Amino acid sequence: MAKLEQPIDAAQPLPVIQVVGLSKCFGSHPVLTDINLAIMPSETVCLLGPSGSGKSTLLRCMNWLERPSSGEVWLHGTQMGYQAGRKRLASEAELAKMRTRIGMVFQQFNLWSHLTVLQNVIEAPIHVQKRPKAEVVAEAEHLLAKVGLHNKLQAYPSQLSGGQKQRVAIARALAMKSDVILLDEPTSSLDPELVGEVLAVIQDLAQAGMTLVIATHEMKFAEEVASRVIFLDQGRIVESSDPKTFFAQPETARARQFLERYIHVGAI
Amino acid sequence: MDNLPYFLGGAAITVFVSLIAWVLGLPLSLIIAIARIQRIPIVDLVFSLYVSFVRSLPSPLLVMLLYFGLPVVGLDLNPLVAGIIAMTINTSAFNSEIWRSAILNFPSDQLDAARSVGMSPNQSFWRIAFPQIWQANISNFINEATFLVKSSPAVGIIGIDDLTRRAGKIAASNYEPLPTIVLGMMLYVVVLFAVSLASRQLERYFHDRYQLV
Amino acid sequence: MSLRFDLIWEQAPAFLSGLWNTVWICAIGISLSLILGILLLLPLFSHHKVVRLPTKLLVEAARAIPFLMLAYLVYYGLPSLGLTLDSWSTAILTIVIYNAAYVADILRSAWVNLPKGQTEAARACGFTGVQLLRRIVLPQILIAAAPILGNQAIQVIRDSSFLAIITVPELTFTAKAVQADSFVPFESFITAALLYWVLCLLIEFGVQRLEWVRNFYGKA
Ligand SMILES: Nc1ncnc2c1ncn2[C@@H]1O[C@H](COP(=O)(O)OP(=O)(O)O)[C@@H](O)[C@H]1O
Ligand SMILES: [Mg+2]
Repeated sequence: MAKLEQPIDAAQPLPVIQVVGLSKCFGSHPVLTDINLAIMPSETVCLLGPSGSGKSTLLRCMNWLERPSSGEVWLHGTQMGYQAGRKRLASEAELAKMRTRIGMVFQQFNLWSHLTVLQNVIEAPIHVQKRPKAEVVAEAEHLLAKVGLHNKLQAYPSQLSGGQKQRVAIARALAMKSDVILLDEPTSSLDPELVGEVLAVIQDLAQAGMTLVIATHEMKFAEEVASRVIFLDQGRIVESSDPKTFFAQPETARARQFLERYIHVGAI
Repeated sequence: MDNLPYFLGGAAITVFVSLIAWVLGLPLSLIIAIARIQRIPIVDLVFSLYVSFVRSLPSPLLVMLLYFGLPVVGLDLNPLVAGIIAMTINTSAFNSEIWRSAILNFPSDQLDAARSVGMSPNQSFWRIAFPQIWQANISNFINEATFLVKSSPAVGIIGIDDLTRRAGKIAASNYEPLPTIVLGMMLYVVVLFAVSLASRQLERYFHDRYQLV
Repeated sequence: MSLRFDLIWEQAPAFLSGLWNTVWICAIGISLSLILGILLLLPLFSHHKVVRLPTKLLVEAARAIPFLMLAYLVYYGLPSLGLTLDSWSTAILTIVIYNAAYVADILRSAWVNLPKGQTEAARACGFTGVQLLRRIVLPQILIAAAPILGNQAIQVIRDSSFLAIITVPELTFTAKAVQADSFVPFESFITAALLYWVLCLLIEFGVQRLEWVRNFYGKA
């Protein structure tokens, strides 16, 4: 049952996202079990784990695209999915408003195919957040320049490469000015030679102090960029540590096996 | 409700006309498709104009053209024959497009295999390609049959007493036209749901039986 | 036997006015049915079974009913309920009832085939409800379904010919009237047929251009 108070550690700053005792089942099949984690401001957290371990589901539960079976998600002191200070479920409209505070980048980009690059970026800020168009457009142009797409403003998604699409998707998430951005395997459907350009953009964001949660299979990237690594296996958090420790001396046998496989694959 | 037997009789005529036209239309449309694929000069052009023309030709107009128009050029048809020919022409144009795209998309490796065991092009078409195309597209052809049923009221214009014409006649002479029309509509729904059920059954039957392409 | 197309030429104004009536009746009917078909998507995708299933059944059933039967429904049925329409309204209402079910079904299947990520990304950006439908879903399914909707428009034009039977003065009715007047059935009906052909070729041409638009948008 939902609690009314966020369990806060007074010695720490308020987390951007705090997940408390979260579980998710699809039918009778448990996909996430008792997940507890806190994402602090300006942290870059990498979610690692084998396919099917529940990384996507966890990210989708954070912004309630998937409704958790039990447990809580707190966003800067407000509880996702519930009316403020009450145990009543939020309406779709209230939920939508909360979602604007969490950006999301998908493995398949999911750019809207009927809109140009610029229109993709300004669509939600104008029509959901109701911000003034001139200001949003100026910002969007700036963001698209930052991800290296200033000359593609009027292109349609079908005219872009995978790497370009994903950079637009990142700009679209940034344009919402949300508190945190969730990235679900942002480079997994890219051709190998396009992975670098997208990772570079993400790395810039991390260095600029954006709060990021990234599900990824790019071990080298995680090692360099993450401030913390969370290792998921079969729906549970198995390890949560700083990347140096995790990659050099994983605590659990599961993590060791996982890393061995990836380092082998990576070496090929 | 007293009119139910009368309506059922009309439905029988509707089904009869549609069924005959469907059966006649299938080989006719196959001939058209083959002629176009073979690019037989002039014939190809004539048929491609024919298909385009008929696809935009309203059925009531076609029925009247055959029944009232042809006697002027010396061809006198009785209404039932004119109606069935009109429906056949109508469906042949649509079905020929189904045949054509199915034949053009038939995997060439199967034909290569047929050629490798010494079949002639004719043999490999009729023995290898045709049976598979027919079975794989049965539901498309039956779908065309439902369009045929829906355009069949056109034959009522020249006096064939199909379901719609009977419903219209009673509705015009009746103080309660609404229930009459609704009953007629329900019979169409029953007929077409039965047809699409049959189509789904056939499709499943062929699918389970062969690993269709 | 000699064909008298000269008599048809004398009746050119009648044919043109019949053609024009067919065009505007169909244009208005198709536009209104497009709107109604779009509105039908709301109950068709409702989360409540009691709303969704009956709508689905209704749309399925409507697509099994011949155009002329619906025309009779409006022509004979409505006056018995105390509602008498002129022949233009009868024609347009028939087209709307007939075509809305097809439009709804065409758009429904386009929606079902819309990649799930499109609405998912929209929800992640805070879109919900009607806004999500209007700004993200609808433009995409209209673009994707445009060629099929174009074919359906041709179907409506062909079926509008049945309106001649309830004496709406459209193109087929005109052809009938001319042949009765001057007894030139073959020439009269073939003229009407050629006019329908031209009309449908124009629509086909338009549809091909839409196909180009669709290829341009492609899959994102
Ligand atoms: N909508 C769904 N319905 C049923 N099972 C699902 C659904 N989404 C994910 N799953 C299952 O949940 C498990 C975790 O999936 P996912 O979160 O996508 O893992 P990951 O992203 O780590 O590969 C998998 O076993 C998957 O089959
Ligand atoms: Mg995943």
